[in-house]
Amino acid sequence: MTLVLPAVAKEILGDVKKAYEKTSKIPDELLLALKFVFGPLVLLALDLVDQRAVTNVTSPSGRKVIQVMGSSGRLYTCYVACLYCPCPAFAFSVLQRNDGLLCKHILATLLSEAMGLCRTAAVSDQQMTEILLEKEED
Amino acid sequence: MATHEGLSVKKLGTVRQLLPSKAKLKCQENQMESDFSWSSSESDSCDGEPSSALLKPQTDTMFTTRNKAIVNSYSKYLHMMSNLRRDCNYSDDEFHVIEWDNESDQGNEKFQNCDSMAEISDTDSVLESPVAQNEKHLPCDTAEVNTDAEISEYSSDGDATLISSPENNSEMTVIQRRNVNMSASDWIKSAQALLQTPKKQGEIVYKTPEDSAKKKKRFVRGGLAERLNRLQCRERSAISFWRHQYFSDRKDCSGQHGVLSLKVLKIYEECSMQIAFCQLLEKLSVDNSLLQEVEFKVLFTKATASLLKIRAGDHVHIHPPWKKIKIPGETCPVIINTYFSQKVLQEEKETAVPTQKLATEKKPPPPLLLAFNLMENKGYLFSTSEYQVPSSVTGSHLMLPVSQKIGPVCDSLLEAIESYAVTGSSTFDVKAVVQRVYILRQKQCPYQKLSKHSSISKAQASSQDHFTDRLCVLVQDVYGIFSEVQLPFSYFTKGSLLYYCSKWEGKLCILNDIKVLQRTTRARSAGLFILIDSLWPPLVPLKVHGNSPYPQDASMTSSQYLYKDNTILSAPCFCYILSTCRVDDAVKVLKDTVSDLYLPPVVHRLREILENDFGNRVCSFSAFVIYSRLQSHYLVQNESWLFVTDSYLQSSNENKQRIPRVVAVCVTTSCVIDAELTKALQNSAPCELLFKDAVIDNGVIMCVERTVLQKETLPSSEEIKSLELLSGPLSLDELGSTTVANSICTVKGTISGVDENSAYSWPVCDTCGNDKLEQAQKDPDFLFCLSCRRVVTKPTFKMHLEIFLNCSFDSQATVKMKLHQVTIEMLLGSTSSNEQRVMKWNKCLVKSWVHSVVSSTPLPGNHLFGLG
Repeated sequence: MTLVLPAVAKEILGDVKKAYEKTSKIPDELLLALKFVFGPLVLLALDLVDQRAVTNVTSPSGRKVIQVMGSSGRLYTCYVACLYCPCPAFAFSVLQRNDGLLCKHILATLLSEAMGLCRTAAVSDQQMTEILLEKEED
Repeated sequence: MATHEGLSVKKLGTVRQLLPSKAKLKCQENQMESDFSWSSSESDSCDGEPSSALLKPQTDTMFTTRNKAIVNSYSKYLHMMSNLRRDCNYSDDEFHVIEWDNESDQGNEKFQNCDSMAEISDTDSVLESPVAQNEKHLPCDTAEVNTDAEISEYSSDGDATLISSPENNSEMTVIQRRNVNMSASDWIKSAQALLQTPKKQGEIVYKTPEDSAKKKKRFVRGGLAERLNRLQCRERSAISFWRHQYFSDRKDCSGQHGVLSLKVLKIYEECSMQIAFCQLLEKLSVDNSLLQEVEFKVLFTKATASLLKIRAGDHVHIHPPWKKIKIPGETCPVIINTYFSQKVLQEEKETAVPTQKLATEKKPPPPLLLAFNLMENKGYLFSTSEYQVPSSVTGSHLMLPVSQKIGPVCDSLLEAIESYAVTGSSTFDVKAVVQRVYILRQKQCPYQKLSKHSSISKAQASSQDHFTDRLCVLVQDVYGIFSEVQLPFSYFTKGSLLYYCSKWEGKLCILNDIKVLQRTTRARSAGLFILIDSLWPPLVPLKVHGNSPYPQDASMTSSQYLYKDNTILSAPCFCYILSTCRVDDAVKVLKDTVSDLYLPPVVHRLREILENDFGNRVCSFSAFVIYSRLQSHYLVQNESWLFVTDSYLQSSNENKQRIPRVVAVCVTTSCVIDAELTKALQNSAPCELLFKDAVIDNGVIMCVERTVLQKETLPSSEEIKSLELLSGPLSLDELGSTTVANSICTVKGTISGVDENSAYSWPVCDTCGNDKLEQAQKDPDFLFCLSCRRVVTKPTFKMHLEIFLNCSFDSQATVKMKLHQVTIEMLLGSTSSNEQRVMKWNKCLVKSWVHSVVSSTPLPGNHLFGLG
């Protein structure tokens, strides 16, 4: 049996994207649908989207990552091809307790991507390596 | 001593409380001022309830000593509160996203609640510097508390830290620190902010304040979050109103318009949402146009489900506004927004219903590899339409549009490779332009021979050749990345190289079922990169990743392409070697028109090649082959030579010695020539060939592994001219002092002698030309031919003859020529006898191939030319 929730989430996100492309607005109905499926995360994620906290980072080697500025000012590195975020909320609610599919950063990424509201940044390969290896900044 | 009602602290020191009720805190100043005792419990035990707190004002010293304990107990308290939160049965209406420091961001993130009444301010300052308290304010000035939620906090180093919760319209104050020398009255005042009696044990009901608009954390004005917040509030009010109405009145709502009457067949949990498989009971209440299906998957939030206690077999009514979502590929639509649901109680007594809570089956978590396919076109993010999840992984867990290749194929090679590596699928598809088609000769590796019948294959391997020819294509995607794709052997049976060239070269194709063999670099595959260099820089601007990932319309506008200055765009330094095992349609042509990205080989003239320095680059040219010295068997590791000329070289009137009339082209063993072409060349039929992507090495034109030799098919005006020239006698350079070895020239001279040491003749059969003749048994005078099994009465004689010539260009030079049969016959006349023949011709003009130039002295003179 296939999982329902991811499919529903995908559909709604797809609808968001289509609606935004057409009218540059998300109808109320969709916002509430998002809220139903993802829960309280949506408000926080939308807040991040409003702040344009999601950045697509590319490097000349062709690697891509996403960086999300958390509300505390911390930068979280998320990935293109899998739903993972290094934030503690993700570790707790998604990984440990399986309470949800994603954390607010990932949802913010998905929404920003659907609405085309991501910032872009290009970094050198060196910097990309550091980001991917999560080098601790002194 | 009067005890302040409802106030107690569990721990002396920092206390954080979430306070539930709506009761107002009256400023009981009068009471405060009077004596009252505060009792403190120093236990660290978490009793799981925010019971009333009593604070006992202690002396300063005592507070100081307990300071450290506060910090420790604070963290424990947080932990306690988190447990508390988990255990509480939250109703749907309240949204409690209380991110405690321990459980959420460890950084400076402020606590965030959606709408809860618990206003928790930033506790970082508490954690980080519990002792050092710089800011000291009197909190009670703002403590006109009329709140539902509040956090009060005390630190007992004499400072009372108080955070008053916001009023309806007041802002939340930050942690405020007190002066060490705070008096008792101040303590009392600060206590005003504390709330009173919490609810009964075990139950904490969080309620939203009336107006949650103003928070410490503000949403962006006019932003989506603000909008959702407003919508949420409205929705919540509607829900609570509806519940009140329907639960209390127990109205029968079946038959009302828009109400879905469903029977729950099965229910399970997925990521804290409850998913119920339901069957429609009554269709009448809903418009048929809206609802055609009978079975649904209904999503309930955890709260709704537990409130209604939905179990399999229950009847539920779902009131509007619910929403139906159709999942592509699934038959059952999904119903969401099921806040307004009620369960229809069965009339009969449910005696059999077990009292204990039936736990619903919980689905395993979805894998992290899940990625949402958001885009129809190539998406920058989550472009999973081309992701193929292998069946072993799919199982029951993954929910991805797999295996059906709906939607466009990825047009970025790097992305396709990346996604294929990530998702672990066995192959991928990619769109690319075919730049070149050629055959690569490879040494056969043992693993290629693996088959069921290993014994047979071993035998085969030993007897067969050690080289295999593979059809390959060099492709380039729209981002400029090159890769070489090796196709399976079966392609040779279906068509020749020329056929595939004409079919694929220059066209935009889809490569199906591709696997990555390796990623090679310039250092490792010099030959490949010489070819790639010739295809760089591209003619058209390349696409660049990351540039405006969402085209507003389906057609890519030119602004999508970033054309970099050629100087900045450096040649590629890596190339992927791919392979496919797909026997049919591995390369599928998308558009029959030649792509803009295709860089056809630039056909030069031989003269240009000889005059200019092409360096270490490939060049293509068209020429007539007039003589070939091919190695017939490619096992022999010698190169072959083709002697070519073209009309320009032929017709050049200037007697430039530098540019020869005929050029020798070396064909290395790695260059594969079509069998048909080889035959034609061996028959010495002059043919015009197109040499594609030959390499100039030290002034010599070489046909290497990726060079393609193909017959020129299209007649051009120049070719017609050339043909005319060729039909007549070819003009060659004359043998001279500048002649180099391995060249073709004409020799003019007088025969001065015959090398008798090397001269011999032998009989051959006149019928079949076979030289295996035996003495006939019957008649010893005659010979018997072994191949045609008959007596040869009049055998022909073949001769090996080398002659010496005197040439006019250098009287000192000695020219030795080995003659072909034809020449010998011409010189001697046809004869059937074995006698020495007299040279009839003194002078002859022979076209010959210079075998070697041997210079006996450094001075010009006494050159010995060995000719063949």
